[in-house]
Amino acid sequence: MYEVKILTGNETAAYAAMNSKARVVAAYPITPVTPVVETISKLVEEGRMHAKFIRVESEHSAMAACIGASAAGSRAFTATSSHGLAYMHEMLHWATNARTPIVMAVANRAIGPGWNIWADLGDALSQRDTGWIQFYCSNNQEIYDTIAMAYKLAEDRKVLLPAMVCYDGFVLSHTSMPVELTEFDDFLSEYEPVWKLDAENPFTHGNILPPEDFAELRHNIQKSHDRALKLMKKIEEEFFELYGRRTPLILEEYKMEDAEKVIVTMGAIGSEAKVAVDSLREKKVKAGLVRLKSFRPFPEKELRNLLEDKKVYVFDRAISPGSGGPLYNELKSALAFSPVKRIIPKIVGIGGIDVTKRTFERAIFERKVWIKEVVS
Amino acid sequence: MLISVRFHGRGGQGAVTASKLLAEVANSMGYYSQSMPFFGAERRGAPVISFTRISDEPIYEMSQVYHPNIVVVLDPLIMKVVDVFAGVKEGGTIVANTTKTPDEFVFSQRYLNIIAVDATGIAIKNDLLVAGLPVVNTPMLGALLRAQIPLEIEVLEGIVGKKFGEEGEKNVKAIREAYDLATVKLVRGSGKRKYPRKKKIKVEFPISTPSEGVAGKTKLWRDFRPKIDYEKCNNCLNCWLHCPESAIRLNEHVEIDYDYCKGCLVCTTVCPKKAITFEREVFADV
Amino acid sequence: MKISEMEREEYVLPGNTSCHGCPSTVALRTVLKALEGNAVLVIPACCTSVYMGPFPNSAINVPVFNTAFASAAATASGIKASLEWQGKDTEVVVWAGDGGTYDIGLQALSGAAERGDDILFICYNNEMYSNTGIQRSGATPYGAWTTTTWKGKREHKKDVSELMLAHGIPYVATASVGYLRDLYEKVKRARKIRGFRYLEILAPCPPGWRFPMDKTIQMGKLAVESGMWILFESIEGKLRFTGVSKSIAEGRRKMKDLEEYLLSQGRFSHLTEEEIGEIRRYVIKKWEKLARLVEGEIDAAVAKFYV
Ligand SMILES: Cc1ncc(C[n+]2csc(CCOP(=O)(O)OP(=O)(O)O)c2C)c(N)n1
Ligand code: SF4
Ligand code: SF4
Ligand code: SF4
Ligand SMILES: [Mg+2]
Repeated sequence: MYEVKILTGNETAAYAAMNSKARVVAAYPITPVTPVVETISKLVEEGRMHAKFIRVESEHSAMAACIGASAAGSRAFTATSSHGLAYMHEMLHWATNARTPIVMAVANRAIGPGWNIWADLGDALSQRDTGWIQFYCSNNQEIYDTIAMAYKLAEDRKVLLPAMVCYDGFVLSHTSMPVELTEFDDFLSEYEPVWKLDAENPFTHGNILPPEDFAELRHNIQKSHDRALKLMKKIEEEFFELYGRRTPLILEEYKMEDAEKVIVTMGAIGSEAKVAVDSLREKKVKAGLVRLKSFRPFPEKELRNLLEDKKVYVFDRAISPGSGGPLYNELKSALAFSPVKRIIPKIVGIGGIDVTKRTFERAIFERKVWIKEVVS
Repeated sequence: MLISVRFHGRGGQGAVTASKLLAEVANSMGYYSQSMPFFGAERRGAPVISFTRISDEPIYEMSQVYHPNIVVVLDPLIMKVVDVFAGVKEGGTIVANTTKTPDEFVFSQRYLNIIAVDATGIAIKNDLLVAGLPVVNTPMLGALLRAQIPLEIEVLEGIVGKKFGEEGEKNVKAIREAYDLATVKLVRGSGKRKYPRKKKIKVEFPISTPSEGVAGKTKLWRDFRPKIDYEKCNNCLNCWLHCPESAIRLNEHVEIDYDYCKGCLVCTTVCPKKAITFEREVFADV
Repeated sequence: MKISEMEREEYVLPGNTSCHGCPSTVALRTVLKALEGNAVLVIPACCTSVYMGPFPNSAINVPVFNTAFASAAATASGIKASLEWQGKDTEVVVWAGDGGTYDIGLQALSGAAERGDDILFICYNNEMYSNTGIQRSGATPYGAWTTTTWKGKREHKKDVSELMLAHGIPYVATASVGYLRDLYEKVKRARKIRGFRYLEILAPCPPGWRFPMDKTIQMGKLAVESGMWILFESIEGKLRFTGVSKSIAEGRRKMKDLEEYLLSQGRFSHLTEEEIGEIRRYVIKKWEKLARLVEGEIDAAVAKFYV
């Protein structure tokens, strides 16, 4: 039972939180994610979404409240972007070590100054070491499905990690497209925590953790990421069987069977890249695409298998100054000892520069690393 | 040559300062040296360790000392909670603030040099007191120099004399006295060294269980021992209400739990009947 | 209330790692007794995060959630929302130092207060950051030595209890470690009220303030007797002085000399006559300000003593 609606990425995220049975939401507005906050507020006030909505005074507090709610046994949700995500940074770490499986929607946006409200994955990528699972979506249906799937994954006894579901600001957050609003009753039941704050059981959470015990916890978190990767395949299958949609969690391949030149990228431009692949093939370039969905955990083995003997073009819509494209760097180290022909960095779409199929083509035909204008 | 020294004391006793002073002495005699404190997260009174390394070559070790040549024990009580002999090299040296004789020490190495000195007594005699408590770190350094270590007492005296201003003279006197009065003896141990294995706990969640004594039996933090005179006590419960340590139990009447009482003496000040007196703590079995 | 009628169960267990004569443990112990253990404690970085001891044990016998320094109130809001959703009537209590209240925690505190979240926020105010080794905070009084004000702080403290009054929340009160029964009763009264409640406890800290470890309670009394710390309680906007402060305000009791309070602490031992005068003026102003907020007859000459 479901309806199809034409929704923006932000509205989609709000509906996904509702249908995933999030029971506590704490969020703070920031462009371009504000409509998520507004929509949830409305859904709650109209009694359609059964949740407590805490109208916090900052993102730091939004994440703190989500952590508290999750620790007390509720499924928690929030959404943010850019400066808001950066402001949360301390609490992102906290959520991981606390083992609170919060799911957060992130509309990716550049961080200032100067003020720039447009798409750039740098906000989320600079949080890569916080221990959060990170998914990057390429259309609104994917945002919808991934939020529910992220809860399923995050709350699994073998994982217990928070997860962010990212989508390009404006490009997806404000673009409307049809979304099947599946109800997830068969897929997700109410949150059942392994442990929760409870007056009957006076445990202390998060007191001093001596070095060796701390290392144990951190090792366990690393192992949880490894286990999450395995579990993703199972969840993809289960989701497909229930709803007939192949929503990838790890990665998506496009025309890879005989590909020689492969585009690797993430997010909305991963959708545009399909068009670029088709166009390149018309020009007799045997192009293919790997759209990475899960940046954390990083599916090293899967990527290595796919990219063997290929010429790889990595398109980053983000820059780690002093180092280069974050995806490029991670991929380079993942492929260090595999027989890849070449791996070539490309930086595109920074600060919201529109990325077209021609952007990809030009990047592949020219030697420039940076494409700093719209190629129309 | 690399000499490593481990200091054991309690928070506030100056173990860290002693470790640093020793490094300064070595440095001013032309050796390379290093002093490294290890901070737990405890407050005043809890066990503290600090390390000094002395060498004629540059020191590259940045880790703690696990196999010291010399161990300095500033606080006699610390032996009850910390294994001060742990990892000490065969034939190494223990410098202990104690009223015992070297032969009374029991350990699992085959041989150790024991240097015994009553540094507390020396500190009291020389009026080395801060807030009423004896300061033993400088005399302990004096005693330490009786060990196999190429440092000269005159250099230590010079540095301490300069550093401590008005208190310098007293400290220098105490150092010399400790150096002279310390008993040094090669003592035989059991020779049966055991290497305790720590049990690993699986840490999935950072969750802890309520329990008494998270810092052990905190009686060892006690310098003063409160005592209730039940003749005078009218069971008004004021001491119970005000004890910061929850160390006064309510049975028939109020009872001090001497396992945990830290000897803060708050109870003595709130008793309307003046029924709680105190004396210096002396643990019979130390 | 008689001491013998107070809760006997201990919720702060002996053998913890607090200093000798710690004001925070003795206050927390009293608070948790008044709550009869039916509470979830939220604790930001402060001395309490340390003295509860290390994993895998804890000295606190109610559920505790440790949170980041800035976010105590927000974390509590989240916990409360979850418990409300589950239909549980557990009191969610923030136990924060003055740093986690006055300074880095102020934004989250103000946010939760303005939202009216059903939380009891308690600040134990030892007038400095003691956990990091005695640095000044927004609650440190003028003239006090700390390791970031070696010659004495040049500014007066801000007053968060007044700020909380301005938030129009249903309960604001001050207490002192010198009067534990008063503290106990205030917690009991606060427990009966719904919404955001703020309680601030003066917590004289022997190592931080530099006074002998056995004098914690006396110092808590002297602060009130000298007028430096004022006990009051505001329920649903009705403010009244309480305890010794009430007697002082009503002219039934003379304030003790401020010098007696200041000069018994090492942190003030360097003060000049002039600096003491500056503190006097501040204290008088504060009394006058509060007296104006109190309904009914108040001896307008509370400041008489000083003249
Ligand atoms: C964001 C952040 N900044 C700094 C610290 C270091 N820190 C921990 S506790 C503390 C001071 C706490 O002071 P207060 O809240 O008054 O509690 P007290 O230590 O006095 O009990 C500081 C500065 C921290 N933990 N987090
Ligand atoms: S000395 Fe301190 S810890 Fe010991 S019983 Fe008295 S108040 Fe409690
Ligand atoms: S305070 Fe004094 S009189 Fe009262 S119970 Fe304690 S010992 Fe007895
Ligand atoms: S520094 Fe003060 S508040 Fe902190 S544990 Fe020690 S006595 Fe208590
Ligand atoms: Mg403080």
